[in-house]
Amino acid sequence: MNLGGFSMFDLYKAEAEQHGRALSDGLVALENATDPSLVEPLMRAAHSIKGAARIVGFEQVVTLAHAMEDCLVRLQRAQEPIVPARVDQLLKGTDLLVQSAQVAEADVPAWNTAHAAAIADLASQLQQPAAAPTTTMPQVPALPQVQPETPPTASSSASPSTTSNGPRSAADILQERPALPTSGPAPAAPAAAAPLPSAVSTHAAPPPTAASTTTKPVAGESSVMVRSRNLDRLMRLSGEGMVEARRLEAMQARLRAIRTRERSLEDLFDRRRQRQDVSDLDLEQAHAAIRNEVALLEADLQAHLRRTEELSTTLHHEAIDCRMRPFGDTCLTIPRTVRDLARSLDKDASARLEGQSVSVDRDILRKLEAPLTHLVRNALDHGIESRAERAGSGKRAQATLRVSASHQAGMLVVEIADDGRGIDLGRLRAKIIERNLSTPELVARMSDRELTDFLFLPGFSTAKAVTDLSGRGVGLDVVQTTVHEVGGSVEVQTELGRGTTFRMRLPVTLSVLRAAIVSIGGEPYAMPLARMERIDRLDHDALEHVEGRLAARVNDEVIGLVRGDELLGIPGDAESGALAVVSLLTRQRTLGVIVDGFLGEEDVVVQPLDERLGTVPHVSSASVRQSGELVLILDADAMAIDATRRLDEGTLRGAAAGSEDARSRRYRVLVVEDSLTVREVERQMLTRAGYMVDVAVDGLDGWNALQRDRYDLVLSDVDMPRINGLELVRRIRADRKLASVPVVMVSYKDREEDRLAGLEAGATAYLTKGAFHDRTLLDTVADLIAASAG
Amino acid sequence: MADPGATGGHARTERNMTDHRPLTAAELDANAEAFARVIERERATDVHAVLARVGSSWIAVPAARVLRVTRAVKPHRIPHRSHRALRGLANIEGEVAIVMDLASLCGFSWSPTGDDAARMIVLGERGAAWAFEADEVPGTVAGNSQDLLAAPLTVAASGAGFTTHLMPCATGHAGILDVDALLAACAEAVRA
Repeated sequence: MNLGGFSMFDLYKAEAEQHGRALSDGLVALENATDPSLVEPLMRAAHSIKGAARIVGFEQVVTLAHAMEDCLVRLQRAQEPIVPARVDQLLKGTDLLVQSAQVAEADVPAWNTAHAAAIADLASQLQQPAAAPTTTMPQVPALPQVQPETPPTASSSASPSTTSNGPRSAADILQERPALPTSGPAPAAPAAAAPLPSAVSTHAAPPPTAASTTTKPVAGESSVMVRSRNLDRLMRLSGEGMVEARRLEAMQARLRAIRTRERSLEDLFDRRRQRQDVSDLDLEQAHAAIRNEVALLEADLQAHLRRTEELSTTLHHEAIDCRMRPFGDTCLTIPRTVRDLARSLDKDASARLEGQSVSVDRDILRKLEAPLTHLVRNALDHGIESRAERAGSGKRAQATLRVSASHQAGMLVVEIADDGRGIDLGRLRAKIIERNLSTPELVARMSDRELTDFLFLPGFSTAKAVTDLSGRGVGLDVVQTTVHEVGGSVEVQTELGRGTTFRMRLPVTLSVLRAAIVSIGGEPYAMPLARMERIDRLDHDALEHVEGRLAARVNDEVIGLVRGDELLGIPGDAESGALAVVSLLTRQRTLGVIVDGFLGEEDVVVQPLDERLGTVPHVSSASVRQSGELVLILDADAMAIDATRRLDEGTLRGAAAGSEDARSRRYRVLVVEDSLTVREVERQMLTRAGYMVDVAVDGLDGWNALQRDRYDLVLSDVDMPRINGLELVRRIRADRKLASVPVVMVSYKDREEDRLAGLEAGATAYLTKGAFHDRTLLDTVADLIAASAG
Repeated sequence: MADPGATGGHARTERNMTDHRPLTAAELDANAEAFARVIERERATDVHAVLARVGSSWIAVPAARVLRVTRAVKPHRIPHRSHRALRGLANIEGEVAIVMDLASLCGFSWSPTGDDAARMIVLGERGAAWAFEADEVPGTVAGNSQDLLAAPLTVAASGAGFTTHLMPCATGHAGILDVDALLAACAEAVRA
């Protein structure tokens, strides 16, 4: 590897980061295993950092690394036991080493000065026997508010500012941990008994100059890390591409030679015609030579085409793969976080990571970091019991927090599962009623899923006590918002006394998806495989009519069908002979979409739809196929929801059609709500009051419905997947045709700022779900429709 | 044997290259006149346009506004969008462009022939391009703005108003498009 382009200081930084990470991971493992044989790699790491620091003049790092190395030697030789207090000190030292890798070269002298006292103290502590295990609980900082946007990675956040209100990575949070209180005085070491001087905490808040120089992003284009394996393969493939291209030159030369032979043959013909001195044999030989050459060239050309096709396909996949990173990249700090937080809470817990090699798009990975950190902290604080409680319930002393990733049905599923106390759904029900978020009758009918959804409301917490770590009900709503932003979902499964699992379902990538290419109305569309159950080829004769609706028997099941061209509003050939049925996964039942045919399966690179087009119902994005043909990527969820709704309404072909006259005499209300129960209650209330009610299951579904049909009023929830209520109302207000439609927002969020946010977004009225109890909701709807119609 | 002619030619070239005698007043005047002729010739062609045929109409698109001209591809229709001027989307050299129907925008009826001569003219900006189909795009045409003619009353009064002037060309006259007005109409059409 050529390192000529890097300065010595660059090399130091790379080395300190790499060995620092090894130290951090190794120390946590060491503490859990207390096995001295694990110490050796740690000694090597400290030693390497010491050597590199000496070269670049990082004196304080040399001092610290030296002290750490000495201490590790004693641990290895079993001259002292491996106790948590010692591991705390070594981890603190590791944090400083890692932090030194973020310092700009010009700021090294300042950093040395700023950290001299703290490092001297820490080095001194490392030379003394460690304090007893029970006296070394580190304090834990208050739970940071998790924000949807996070810094790229823990290692790249070089400015662990203690005053920042912005999002922080787990590494930042850990770096801000105050000095260890050392209530167990170490014999013959008065200095170690006193709390570390305040200089220690300055390591987390370096002088402004250091912070400003180390965090300034490089001007110009952003850069991403690509695995060297990927880059090597890309280079190899592009090299092969060049070689293949050159083969064409040789083929061209051979083609010219064939032309020359062909001209010779023509000459022979001419001579034969004129002078008759050319025999049939001469002609046959000349012709045979040309035929042989053509056959050889044709074979070569076919081989070339095959190789080129394979090459370009591999190149395409490799380029896509460059966007992917292993899930483990986002888990680097989890064992450390679990270890430190458990100790701070006097709990015993360890992390178990699974599926670290699962490939995830780097954009998703970045978005995942904050929710993941929050859920880990949440599990430690609320899910996992104290040592005494676990002992009392006969559980294993050490709790396990499992963080796993897997690909399931084309989605990335990330689970954070603890074996703690679980969530008491009875208490959750009581809390919902107590906070007047719903009626006892409604709560009694709610499914577990609907109940646990309340946990994601802002300000909603079932914790008995607010701790420094969590319990204020802040955070889970942000977790949900972040997950929704990338088109994912989050749910909770819990069993009292057994534990709780938070399950996030996320797209594996935002840029590439595996899709079935189908033809609708004679044009290609991509249907994401993750949303499909299967594809079946049918004859047109296989279609049946059940109560006037299209159906077909597929795999011993009669499934309802809708015509794809009709659903998409595209004129198609309804009477074509053979057709294919794409079965979509919907919540309630299988729905078949009739398409003209199935064209194959491909990875399509997602290109966002041109903003100038606005929202196109049922289409999520576009892509260019490998053949160069444009393909539109369908939003299968929206299609399934819309088809189901339109079948119910009777506005799709074959469905029992209602009389438009009868419909138009009643006002039409669109209910946009993701909770099945609440949606149904609203629908029933409004229907009973005489309104014609359509429902949409989330903001995007609602927006699509508004594009298709005219409504006199929209009743919308606030928190919903894909597009939330605020965004929906903003879109309505920005749309010329819809701007005047009254929108009533109904939400559990009853804080004044939530109400204001709704009204500022453009809602005509903002009601809390308590409005179901009386006539407030119906009166508001009636008043607004009357005002709008008048 | 050496070629004497070649040697002589070489010698003459050397002599010319080292010949730095001052030019006479007459030579200077002749040079100035030659330059003036060049400038005049350039001034005479201050309008450059890409010539396209849509049905029986010849259209001149200001060359500076044309991003590229490519072989025509059939656009992909867009679900739930039925504006007659919106033909669909197409992959134009890796970029997804919105394809508009120039004839519809101008108010006349036309269907693309789809034969080998058919081309697409891409206008606008990279990343926000508009593509228009044409039956053929034979090349560019240059002319002098002073030779342009006003659009006939039937065109000016049609309401579409994308033709600012008429430009003489080999086939008669081509209507020079007001690209800004055309693109504004496109933006309006896709929002509808």
